[in-house]
Amino acid sequence: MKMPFSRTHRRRNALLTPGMGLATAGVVVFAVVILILRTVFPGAIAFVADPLWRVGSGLAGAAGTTAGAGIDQATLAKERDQLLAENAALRQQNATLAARSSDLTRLLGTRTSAPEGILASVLARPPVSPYDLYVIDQGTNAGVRVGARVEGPGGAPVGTVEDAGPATARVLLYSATGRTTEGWAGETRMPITLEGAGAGSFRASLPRESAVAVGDQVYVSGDGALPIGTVVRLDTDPSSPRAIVHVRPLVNIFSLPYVTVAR
Amino acid sequence: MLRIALIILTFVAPFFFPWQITLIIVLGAAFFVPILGLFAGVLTDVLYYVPSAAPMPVATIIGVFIFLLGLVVQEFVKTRIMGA
Repeated sequence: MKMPFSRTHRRRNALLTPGMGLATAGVVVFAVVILILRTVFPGAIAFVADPLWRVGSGLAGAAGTTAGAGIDQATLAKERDQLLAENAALRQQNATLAARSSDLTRLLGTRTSAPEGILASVLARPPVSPYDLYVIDQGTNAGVRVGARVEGPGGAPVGTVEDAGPATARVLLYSATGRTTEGWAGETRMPITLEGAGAGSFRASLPRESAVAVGDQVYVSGDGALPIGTVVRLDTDPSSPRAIVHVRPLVNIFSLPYVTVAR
Repeated sequence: MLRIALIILTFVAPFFFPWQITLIIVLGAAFFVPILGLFAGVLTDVLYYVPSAAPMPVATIIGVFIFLLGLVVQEFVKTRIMGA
């Protein structure tokens, strides 16, 4: 028997239905509008996204606190004892450093005081951002400029400002996949090209006979040599004249709440 | 109701969840509403992409693939239902 022709059947079998085509066109128009907005009014998207990022950041913090509540008492007590011991040692070290600082200040005045940076809160960080990138809550209104170095606690460099709007800025971390940064390794300051490996870590290639060892500090240039990480592994292959150096960053990029942007 | 929940979840995921979780959510959502894959990809790149981070907006490209995958899966499911 001959099957009757059905227009609805044809439509149902089509991969891209008229409704879906319309939706695709809508997304494309949305993308173009967003692109124009991002170029002409760089602060508009951040203005809309800012409250959501803040809620997300707050929720992540609350989730961390709740997760911590499940740890048993024995572990907590052990951790507390360790922290008390560490605190006593640090207090002693702090007293020594304070005395030394006082002596040096008396000797040199305050000429060595570091220039103040711009304190910024991290709104979005990896792994929420798929690229190794921070979104911070300070922008050009606060003096943030593209290319400025961004530092974590203790002045450890974490990245540079890549894009700045009036109220927010995007910071590309040194550990972004494929990003290369010149630096030095070890006490001998062996020149090294750090390559970002994502998730906060780095890799580098060095001659196998170089004096770099596990535990050596790795530095990048700034106001002097700024420590950025520690060598955690050296991969050598008898058939290769070079060794692969794996570097772990000094700061945990996944949990940094604040950063400082150099002026 | 499910579609509305999926749309809301896809919209907030790039702000709240790690990208791996977002990817899983979007993959699931795209089986019901394929266009959400493309939408989530574009939104992620609007929020986080800078040209020096990657040569191409990777999230958008993944979004396009998820969109196409969602279309194929949806069509496959329709065909199975019709054939049954």
